[in-house]
Amino acid sequence: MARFRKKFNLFDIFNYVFLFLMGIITLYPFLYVLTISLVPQGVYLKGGLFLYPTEISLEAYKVVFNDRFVYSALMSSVIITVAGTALNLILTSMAAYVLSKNDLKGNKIIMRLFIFTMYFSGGMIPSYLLMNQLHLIDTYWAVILSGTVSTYYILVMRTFFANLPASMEEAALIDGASDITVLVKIILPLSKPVLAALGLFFAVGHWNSYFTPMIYLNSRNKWTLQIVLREILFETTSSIKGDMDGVASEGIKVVAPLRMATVIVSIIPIALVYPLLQKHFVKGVLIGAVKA
Amino acid sequence: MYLKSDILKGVTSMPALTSEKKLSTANGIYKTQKSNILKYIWKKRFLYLILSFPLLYILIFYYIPMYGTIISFLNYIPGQSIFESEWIGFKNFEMIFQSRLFIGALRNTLIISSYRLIFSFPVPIITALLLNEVFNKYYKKGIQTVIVFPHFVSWVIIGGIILSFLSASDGLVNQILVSLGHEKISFLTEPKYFRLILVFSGIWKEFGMSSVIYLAAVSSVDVSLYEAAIIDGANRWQQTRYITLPEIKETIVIIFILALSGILNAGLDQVLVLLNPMVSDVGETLDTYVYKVGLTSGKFSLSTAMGLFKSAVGFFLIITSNAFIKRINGKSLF
Repeated sequence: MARFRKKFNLFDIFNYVFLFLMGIITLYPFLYVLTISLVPQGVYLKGGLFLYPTEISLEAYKVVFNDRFVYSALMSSVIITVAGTALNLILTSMAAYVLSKNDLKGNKIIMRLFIFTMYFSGGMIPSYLLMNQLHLIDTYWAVILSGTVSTYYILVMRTFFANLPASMEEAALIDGASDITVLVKIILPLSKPVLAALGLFFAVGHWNSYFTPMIYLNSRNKWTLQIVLREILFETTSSIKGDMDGVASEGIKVVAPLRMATVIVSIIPIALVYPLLQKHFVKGVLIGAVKA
Repeated sequence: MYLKSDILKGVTSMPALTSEKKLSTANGIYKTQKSNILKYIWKKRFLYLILSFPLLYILIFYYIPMYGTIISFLNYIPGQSIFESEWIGFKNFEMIFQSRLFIGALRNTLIISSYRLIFSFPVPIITALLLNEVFNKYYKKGIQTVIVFPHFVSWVIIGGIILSFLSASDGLVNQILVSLGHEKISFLTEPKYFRLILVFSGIWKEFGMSSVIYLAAVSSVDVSLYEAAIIDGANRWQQTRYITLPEIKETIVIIFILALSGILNAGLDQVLVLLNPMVSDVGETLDTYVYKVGLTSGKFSLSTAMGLFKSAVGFFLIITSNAFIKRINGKSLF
């Protein structure tokens, strides 16, 4: 930046150090959790660990990976995330595309219908009662269909579509393409960046959601990863079967390394996807921020 | 060369299709106008078809529940149909305002939101300003990457992390306390710590992401303003104070107003994960209480009344804040 002089003064030292501390504060808790997950229970109880595992044991991870319950929870989360994100993208882009056509009659009124949902909503109970009426309680659909269409994201996509050059569309229409063909063959390929960015937001949202799956999924075998994780963390016993002390038991007493191993396993998908998120997310944030 | 779209535009601006059409009683002209509308719809049928799906979605999943809030005026008993329930007017609302627990939840919500506004609002701004002063773009990007990460992690996971530090039996903080000769403290079940835990874990999770947003605003400041200031001999602090801050003031104010309008939202997932009976006096928020009364106790009418109260106040707040922002910005947010 042209505004910087080349000299590096005391403030800069403080700044770099301060920001470094911010980074450490952010990362250290993860490191600590990882450490605990890798030690044997006995070593943990002795205490004194805080930076690295003094003795490594994969016992906790073995229990986690051998557990059927964790796998079914993982499956649930994957199903909901994939289906939910797909529906999110499809419906959002449908709305955004048509609503970006300012000359379409009725668009203004329909846009107002969408925007009103940002100001006011029915609330928790009426939504639950609706799902009940639709006989969707205790099905994945209740979770997948909650929040599929969010007007805020429609607006983001709509801005994007509106900024695409109109010439390609017009050329196609002259050549006799129908509106659907235009959408599928021209607009969508051009929209890959915004679809990728929003797709990632949606996916992360589904993966991390706790409340919505919790209220709609009653059967334990449908519980998502977050629900199971919460149970493991905050209850003293859980449905995890396996043994940590060489003794098989039905519902073992959940101990810290086991808890932390489950936490780490839950973080791994997010961590893997994070580089992608970084790339698209910052772009998405900039689009949103510029709007504001 | 005439583009098809120009021709289409010509068609749509014909008097017959615009809202200023003069309706004539002569059947011939009236029929032409009606069939022009139908022709238009048929011509654009795919667009309307495409729009119909998301439209149907919001009609079902947003507007029907909106109508459903009517049960807060009824004595709705699960199993009955809405139309059979008796009308009891504002009785539910009277009840909730006389309920100690509801008032407590309302109070907790306002206090927690206020703490968040006071403590967590400045942090991302300061971080963004500091990041802006970093020469080395790799260091800048690196720090950003690190501090943004917790935003993507779920509250359940963060709850687990909090547990590993603050657990009464073997949390790291208690290990340290014990080694220093103090007694263990059960942080998570102590009322006096609960709100602070909520607020500070919230800061830890979100300050990185928020600072990136402010950084975008800071980066969009015109560089030539700085160059002019440097020529006039301004040092970096003066540049920050007289250029950066005023330029991003608008952004800050807008975000603050929006945050203020969300004051009734104290965080649902976060509170639900950490809430326990020992701290419910200080920690029960509107959302968690609505959940408790509605879905755990099954008192649908009552909890819908609470929800309607929250939505109505929220609606009023966001309309008001939108008006404020309009005045500042010259245009509306949406």
